[in-house]
Amino acid sequence: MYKKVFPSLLMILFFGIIIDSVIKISHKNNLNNIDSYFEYYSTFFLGCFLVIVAFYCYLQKQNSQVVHNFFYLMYVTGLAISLSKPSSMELPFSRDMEILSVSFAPYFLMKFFTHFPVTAKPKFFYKITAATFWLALIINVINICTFIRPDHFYADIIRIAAIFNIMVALIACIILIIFHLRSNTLWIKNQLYILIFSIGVSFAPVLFLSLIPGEIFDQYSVPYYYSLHSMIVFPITMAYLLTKQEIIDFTASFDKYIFSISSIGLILILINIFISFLLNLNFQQLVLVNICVLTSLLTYILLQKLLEPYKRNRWKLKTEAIQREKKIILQQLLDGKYLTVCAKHVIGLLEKVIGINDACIIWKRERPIVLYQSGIFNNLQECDRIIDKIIIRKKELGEVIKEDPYYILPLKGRDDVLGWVVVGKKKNFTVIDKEEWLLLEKIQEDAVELFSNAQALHQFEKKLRKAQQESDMFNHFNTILLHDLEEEQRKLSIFLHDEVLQSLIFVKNKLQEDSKSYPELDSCLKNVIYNVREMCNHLHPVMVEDLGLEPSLQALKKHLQLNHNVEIELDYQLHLIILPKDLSINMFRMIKELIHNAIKHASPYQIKVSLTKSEGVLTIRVEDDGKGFEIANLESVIGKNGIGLATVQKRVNLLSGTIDIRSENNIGTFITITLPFEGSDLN
Amino acid sequence: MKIKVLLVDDHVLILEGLIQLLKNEKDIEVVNTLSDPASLFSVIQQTNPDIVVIDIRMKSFNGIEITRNIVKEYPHIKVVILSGYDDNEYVQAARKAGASAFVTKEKSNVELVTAIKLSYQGYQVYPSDMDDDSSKNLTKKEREVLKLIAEDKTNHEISEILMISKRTVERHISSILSKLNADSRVGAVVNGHKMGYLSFHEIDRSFRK
Repeated sequence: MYKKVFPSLLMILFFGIIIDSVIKISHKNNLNNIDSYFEYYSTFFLGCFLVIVAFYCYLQKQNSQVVHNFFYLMYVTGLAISLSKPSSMELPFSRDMEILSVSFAPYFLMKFFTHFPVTAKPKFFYKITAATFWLALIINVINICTFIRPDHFYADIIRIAAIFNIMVALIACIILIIFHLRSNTLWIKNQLYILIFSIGVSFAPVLFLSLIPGEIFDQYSVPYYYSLHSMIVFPITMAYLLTKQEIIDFTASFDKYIFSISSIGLILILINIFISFLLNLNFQQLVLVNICVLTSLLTYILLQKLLEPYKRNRWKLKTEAIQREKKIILQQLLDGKYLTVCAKHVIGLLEKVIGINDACIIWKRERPIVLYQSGIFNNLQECDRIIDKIIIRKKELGEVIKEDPYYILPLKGRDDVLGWVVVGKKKNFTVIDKEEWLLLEKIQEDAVELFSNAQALHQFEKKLRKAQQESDMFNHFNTILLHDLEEEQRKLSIFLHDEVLQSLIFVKNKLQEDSKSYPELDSCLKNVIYNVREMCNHLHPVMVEDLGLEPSLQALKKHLQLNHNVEIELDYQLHLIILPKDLSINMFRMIKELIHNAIKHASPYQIKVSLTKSEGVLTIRVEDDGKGFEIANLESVIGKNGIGLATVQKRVNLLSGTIDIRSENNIGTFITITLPFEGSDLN
Repeated sequence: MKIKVLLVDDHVLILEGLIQLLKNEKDIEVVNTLSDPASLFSVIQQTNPDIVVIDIRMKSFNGIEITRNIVKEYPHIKVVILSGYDDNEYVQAARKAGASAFVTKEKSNVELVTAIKLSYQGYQVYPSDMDDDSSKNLTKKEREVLKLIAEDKTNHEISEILMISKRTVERHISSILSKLNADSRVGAVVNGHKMGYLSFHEIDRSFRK
């Protein structure tokens, strides 16, 4: 914060001096015509402008060293320019202040160029900077001496020294600019071009209109206090340069401004022609008129530009408010509320954006209903009256109806009218103006969009919820079904074993006792017994219940190796774990299914099955070296292989496990199932 | 002195059949029968049998578990397990649990009587021991089956070609495996080729890895 303090104090000092000088001058001269303004006060205006622009720059970029130096440069320059008139009128102290600022101006110019456009500088530059500082100091010391002994000699020395100081600084800067122009960096070149351009534009009028004609050719010249005004271009361009720090594409900018520049030029030419017909003005007056016209045009353009953001802002703010409301409403819709919420927000929006106090939204039904109301419509009779009006004027319902003192605006959906917005008086009782009508139309459009979206969304949500419910039901049903299936199979298996099988065995044994002459019958019964037993095993893995998972897998392996041309390698590492019966049965079924699948579809030579446990997880791996398949169509494989893989997947899901299927043509299939398991370990 | 036998089976029909069978034996006395093993141990206390004949699987009881408990509590009592299943895993489980004999139910009644008598004398009677009469040479039928296995025929196909039941096919293959010292059809084909039962051209391409 304190960074601002010193420049602020300087600013106060500056304006103190300026106001003091202006008051003193005004005592001597009355401001009675335009000429006296230019003659006596224009330098103050110019000086103030320079200093204010520099201060603005400083406020924009307080941390920039370049801007810092720019501020001081502009400050002393502005002070010098402002004090030139008071000094020439020999007002007290103004001459000393002028000498002070003029003498230090070269130093600050050098300081400014120390960091502009880049910091890297040749050594001589620093020496010159120091020299300008000391010279400025000497000048001021000499000046103080003149207080004690006023002498024209000293005054001459001071003037020569000051001009010398300025010359040295200027030459050093010109050398520096030439030096920098050789640089390849586009950015530096750009900055320098802008600098040269602004210097050219600023000082050319003084040079070509005042100095060269007046001093060198001794002809008629424009007084410097007129031509000096073009100097304001310099601080403006510099300020732009320093605060924006960007490269200007001249051709693009030129394209952009060519029309305004040429139209301004055309206006000036027309006015000049016009004036030359009407009035007989001398050159000075003509220049003055042109400057006036140009200034007023530029002022107009400038004002337009300045006001534009404000104009745009107002519109923008209102449309933004509409968008914001829309978002909130949609969010609330997602939260499950519906039409009333929409209506409430639309009415809120009307109040916020246009300032309409009384409004209600009517929804189309057999008899229309009020969704939400405000202001006067909180009176239900008023609402009923409007609804009756709507019913009566059915034919015009697609149009905006004026039903004093209300307007009934339709909400037209794609095919039909959805409802109506009834708009009453504004809070401030003014008429709804053109811009507000536009806003109203926009709100109307957005409300239609909103209501139809809301309806669609509501329907989607309903469908989604229904689908979700169905899906949940299916899942639940599946679980029950699978469980039921298991139970049914178990029952059937036990029935076959306990009832059918035992009876058969009994019959067979009886037969053996009574008649030894029926070996055919005996063999037949043996086959039936065998088949029933097979069926029992197929239906329900009784052995898993009786003996556990490992023996059952060994039996399975043996059985399959006996019946199919395949080698099965079993790596069972769960000896030290007590598996719950349900889990064992599920695991057995899955493994059996996977092996059967492999044999059936992949024709492998070898199948490797491994069961391992790691941290909280049981892992079943079934690998075969069979045909394999393209993993890309896994879904279709699962479908094609019938219920097999699908039930395995289902079982894995029910056990909250994961299944990973990898397969490659002619290399094999690798299936890994992991199941969460926090069971007891015998260790 | 008669051998005191206690019968435990939840299939009443079988139980009655067994009683009939054993009644005919002079040196065997059925001291009690149980269709529900819940009261088994108190009955053992009362009757003090020499042999307990028990079904391997009863509705809510596991014969193997019960066997283990009997052997632990009464080491002098011999247990004969009756089984509806003939899988080797059951046989081994019975052996591990400490049973003296394992008899599948549809085996001839004579075998059960033999098993009771042998285990009373302190022998271990298990299926593989009983079947151990086979020579190491394959029979003519077994060679035919082996040849069909080598041709990559399924058991179903073999049973149709040879016009024998699936059960018989499986029994043949089982026998082939044990004679050829293999534990799979693939192994049987490889060993069969080594032992000269199969010539190379008889073996299907799928075996020639």
